[in-house]
Amino acid sequence: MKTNIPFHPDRTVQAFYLFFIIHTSQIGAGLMGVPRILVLEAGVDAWISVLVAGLYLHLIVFIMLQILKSYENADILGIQQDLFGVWIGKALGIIYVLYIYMLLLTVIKNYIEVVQVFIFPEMPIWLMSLFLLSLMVYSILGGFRVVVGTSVVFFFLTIWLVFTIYKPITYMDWEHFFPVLQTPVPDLLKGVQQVTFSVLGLEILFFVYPFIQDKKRAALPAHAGVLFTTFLILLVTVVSIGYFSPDQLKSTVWATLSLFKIISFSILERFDFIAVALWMMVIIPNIVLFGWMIIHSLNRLFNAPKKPSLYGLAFLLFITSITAEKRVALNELTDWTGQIGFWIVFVYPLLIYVLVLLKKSMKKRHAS
Amino acid sequence: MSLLLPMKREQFLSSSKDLLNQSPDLVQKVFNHEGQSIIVQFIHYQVNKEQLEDEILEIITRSTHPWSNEGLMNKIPLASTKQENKMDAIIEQMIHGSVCIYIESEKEATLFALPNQEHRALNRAETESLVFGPQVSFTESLMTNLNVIRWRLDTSDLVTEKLIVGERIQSEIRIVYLKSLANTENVNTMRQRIQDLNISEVEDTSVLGQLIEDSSSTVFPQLIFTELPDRFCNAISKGRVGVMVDKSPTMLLGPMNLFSFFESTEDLYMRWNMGSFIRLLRFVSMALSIILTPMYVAALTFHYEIIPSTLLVSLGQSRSTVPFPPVLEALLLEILIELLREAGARLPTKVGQTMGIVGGIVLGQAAVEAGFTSNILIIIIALSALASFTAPSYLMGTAIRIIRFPMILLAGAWGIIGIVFALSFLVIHLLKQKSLGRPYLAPIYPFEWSDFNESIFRVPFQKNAKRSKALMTKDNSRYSESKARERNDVDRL
Amino acid sequence: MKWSSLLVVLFLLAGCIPKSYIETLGIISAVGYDLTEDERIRGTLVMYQFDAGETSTSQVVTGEADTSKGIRFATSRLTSHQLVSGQVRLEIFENELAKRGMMKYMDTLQRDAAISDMGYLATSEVPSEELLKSGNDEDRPNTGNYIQELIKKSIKEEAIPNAVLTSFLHDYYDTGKDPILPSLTLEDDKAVINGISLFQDDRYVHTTSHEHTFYIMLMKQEFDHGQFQVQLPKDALEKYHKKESIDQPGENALHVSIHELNSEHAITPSKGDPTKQSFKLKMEGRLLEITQDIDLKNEEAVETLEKEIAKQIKEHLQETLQVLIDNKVDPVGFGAKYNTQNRTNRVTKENWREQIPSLQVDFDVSFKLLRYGISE
Repeated sequence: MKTNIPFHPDRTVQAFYLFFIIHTSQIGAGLMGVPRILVLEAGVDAWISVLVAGLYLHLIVFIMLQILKSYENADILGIQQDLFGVWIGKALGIIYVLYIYMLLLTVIKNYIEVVQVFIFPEMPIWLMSLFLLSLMVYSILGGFRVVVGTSVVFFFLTIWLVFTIYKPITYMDWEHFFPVLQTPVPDLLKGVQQVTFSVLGLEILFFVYPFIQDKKRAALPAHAGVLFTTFLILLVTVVSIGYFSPDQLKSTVWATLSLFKIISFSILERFDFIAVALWMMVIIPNIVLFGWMIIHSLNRLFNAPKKPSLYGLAFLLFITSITAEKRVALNELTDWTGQIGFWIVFVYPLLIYVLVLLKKSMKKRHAS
Repeated sequence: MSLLLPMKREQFLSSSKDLLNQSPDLVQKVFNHEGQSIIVQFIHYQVNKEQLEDEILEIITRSTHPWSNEGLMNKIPLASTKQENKMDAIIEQMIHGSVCIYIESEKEATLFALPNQEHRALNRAETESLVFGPQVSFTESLMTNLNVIRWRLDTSDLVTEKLIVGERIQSEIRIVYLKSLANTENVNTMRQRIQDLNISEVEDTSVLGQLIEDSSSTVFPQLIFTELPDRFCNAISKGRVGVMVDKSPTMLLGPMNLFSFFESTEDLYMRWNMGSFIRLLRFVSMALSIILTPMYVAALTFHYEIIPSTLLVSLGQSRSTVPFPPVLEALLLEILIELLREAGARLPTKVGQTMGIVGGIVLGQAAVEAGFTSNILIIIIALSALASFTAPSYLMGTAIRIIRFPMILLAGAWGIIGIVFALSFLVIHLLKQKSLGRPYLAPIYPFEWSDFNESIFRVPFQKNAKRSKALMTKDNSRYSESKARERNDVDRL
Repeated sequence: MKWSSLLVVLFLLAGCIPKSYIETLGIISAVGYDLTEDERIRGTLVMYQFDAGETSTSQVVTGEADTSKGIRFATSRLTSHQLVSGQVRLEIFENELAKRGMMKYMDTLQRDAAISDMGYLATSEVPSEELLKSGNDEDRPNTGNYIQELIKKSIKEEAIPNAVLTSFLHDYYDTGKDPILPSLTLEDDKAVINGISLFQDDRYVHTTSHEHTFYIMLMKQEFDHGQFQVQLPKDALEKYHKKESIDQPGENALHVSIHELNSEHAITPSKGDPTKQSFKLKMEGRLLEITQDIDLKNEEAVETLEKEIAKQIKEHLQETLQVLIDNKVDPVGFGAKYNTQNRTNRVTKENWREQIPSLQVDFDVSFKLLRYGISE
């Protein structure tokens, strides 16, 4: 495996698509329940945690871009191999793949759970999983450009859901936020960590970077994507805290979706049904992008042929998603993925950055 | 190995007959003068008799001896002449309406093209109709059509490349584009795809279109067929590539994107705000046409919660008499509408109108009264059928009506989840489509905000200085933007 | 292609979910809960059901059980339709039952995602069964629907506070705040709103009169376009009577009727002590009717009138507050307000109830007349 990926203009996309790629891979299942897990840790000051987490996200994006810029046209797999050698590099690559697989599984299982709770308690898990996976396979078969297109089009198809939040806003009680800073700082930091759990997916930047046409312009859309993610999380957190009483929020698992319950139109009494179903369209870019990352990584690491490994992945996901039916297991899976993701996405890049800097200075010394 | 022109006149006469399978329509007129003979032969309905008599026979009989090819060519006042020495080439020319003049002992025969083609005159358009704007439609004759196009696009920039397709029955095909505008890659793709065809015959433009389309498995048309010269020329002048096939009144245009199937030239002829309104109306009606019936099925089969309480009673009451589940009810009615459409299309216009009345009023009314369907569903189905007919492209309208059926089935099986799944599948499907290798969902993906001007909205011409980026035209600007802003009014503010 | 179409057929066969066709359902639109003599719950369900050839679309059924979900089982014996609760728009609790705390009966309302958050809640002085089976002389599908529209309209007119499930739960879960609900009763076999019922947490304690309803709302929320009447002392404006009516000084009581009422308020708790609060109220309104002939062109007269109205309102507010204190309830949320501004000595659900009796509120009311109608 080479460190750098040869640059094919036909297989690349313009830099501004990074906004959609990063944003849609971050927003997904996590957003449905983020207000509750935040409030459990950080209380009504959770919004401060979101802001802090947002700043940290920008830092990570900055560092990721610095790492990537120091190579010609490499992704994380190539960089790892360059830094740690072939074997360790490959092993780390496998860890990445496993982690993304878990993330993908979490997203699918969480959404199926939501559909069962809100719409069809009788919906068979295997069927829902088949629906989602068939869409994933169908999209990834189209290649990288279709994968990016999926994230762009589904972003536009679902972003209008944000505007329906005006109704819960009219029911908000601003007094819930006062007095500010009731929560001790350690709890706020725990809240920050909780935010990062629900915005996993940022690592996609490490994988798609070689496929960006004008790399000089990559920074703005990448930061904008993260900013918009932070904004959405902040929005639903603030509205949920105002709309629910703190105690009520702590017992509302899918707070964001519950916000939709009071929205109704004259031809549609219960908007929450539509919203939960449409959430599938929020999930699809997630699944497709993560699936692409796995296929792409396997191809890079082991030269695995793409089509068979895609079918293999879909089959494996299908089997793992229909086993373990209970909510407790799902919670455990979500927590585990969150913990691993935290270290991989939000701590590990710092380490790599240090190593890259060290290597650079070593080279300089060698040269002089 | 083709037969060369025989030197003996008997031989020529008999081999001509043989090559035309003893056709009774072959006329062979032999003139003898001082031992030298001259043969004029033609297929009698393929040539223009008056011209033949006035301009060939008359001159031959008057001309002085000895006859020679050169002498005849100089005397006969016809522009399209040709000399051939191969028998099968001569016969082919005759089939196309040439008169062959054979002079014994000459190595070559002379051919004069005097084709007599029967075709209709330019008429009003039938399948695509405009309320406002030019009404003429193309005819079956390629020459007439070329004439119309040349007249509309009055520039030397216009290229009409000639290609011949068909192994057994050949058709003449023209690729039409503006040389200084159309993207070379698009032209090449179109030419390449037509040249690569290895087929015995091409029946019509629409057949050719299907043969060269990017994907044959989808219901969505990828190239536009039109019979309107104004639409064709408008697309050419925007930088698209057109294809004309002889003997077909429909023309082909590419590359297209999904949204161009909802464009009508009428939008351009109307004021921009009316044009935009009508175009948006079409998009909305398409969305309704796809969503409405499946939503009805989903709501009545699974999601009674989403029905507003004011509607609940009337919906429930009208449903209570229906013996079938909503899926079946909806499918039945959809098929009924399709039947009406198909029957109306096959019948002569006058009978077709009666069909509409019988089907629409009598059947619909009776079906509700008999408790066969609920009257709310009748409204919904009629609305969505009507909406699907607003597409300016007949093929697109049909595609939309077809994808409704699987959506209704999915809605009946898994309610709103089924609908969202179907929509997602549809969107990914559209994302994967291409037209002449160009993305099908063009201004949305690849995202190009400035292209929304033309394909989704219809902004005023004053604000639309740039050409569509998706077409990758050689010249990007339509006019100078700064000049367009200048005002020379008397009372300038 | 062949394989995929085969697969699709397989899905259709294997993945079907139970259907609930609308005509097979008994769609519950209103529910009433009563306490029976033997301490069980009697539930009254108003439901829509659609049968061929039947013009009436609703039915009222009653069943007894120990839990609210149990009532569904108990009543489903009585109908051929499958009972579903996704369209419940109204839940009525009899006072006797509400006294025992409503949350345990509402648990399913909260937990079941099928149930709308925008259904109305109300309490009833008479058994809700009687209420829901009472006459419905308006052209409504059923009495449940009538009561629901009645409550909806009253909320819109700002005659009663918002009574949807969401706001009830919100107030219930908030610390230092109690929920309130509209109270229903029967008058001439017709359901009417007779005031609002006060709750300690989820336990019903008292129903206030109409008069107090307005003043509780004045404290609890801000008005946009409400209306109210107030009675002033007979001789409060004697000075400004129009000349011609001086001969016969007003023998009628002085009633003032205000509409287009707009109010703003600010509650300021004192530092460290939740029981001492001040309440500043600013009101604006249009004079609709006044029963004495006052010269409204005189600015002084208007000012005096405004002051008199403000004084009256203040008195009524004090009176109403006393009712609340007597019942140890805090629907206004004085405790919650205190919590938003103080980090020490915080109010909790437990200690606030004990502190309510010593609550002292300092009212500061100002009133402004905007326009006086079309006659002078």
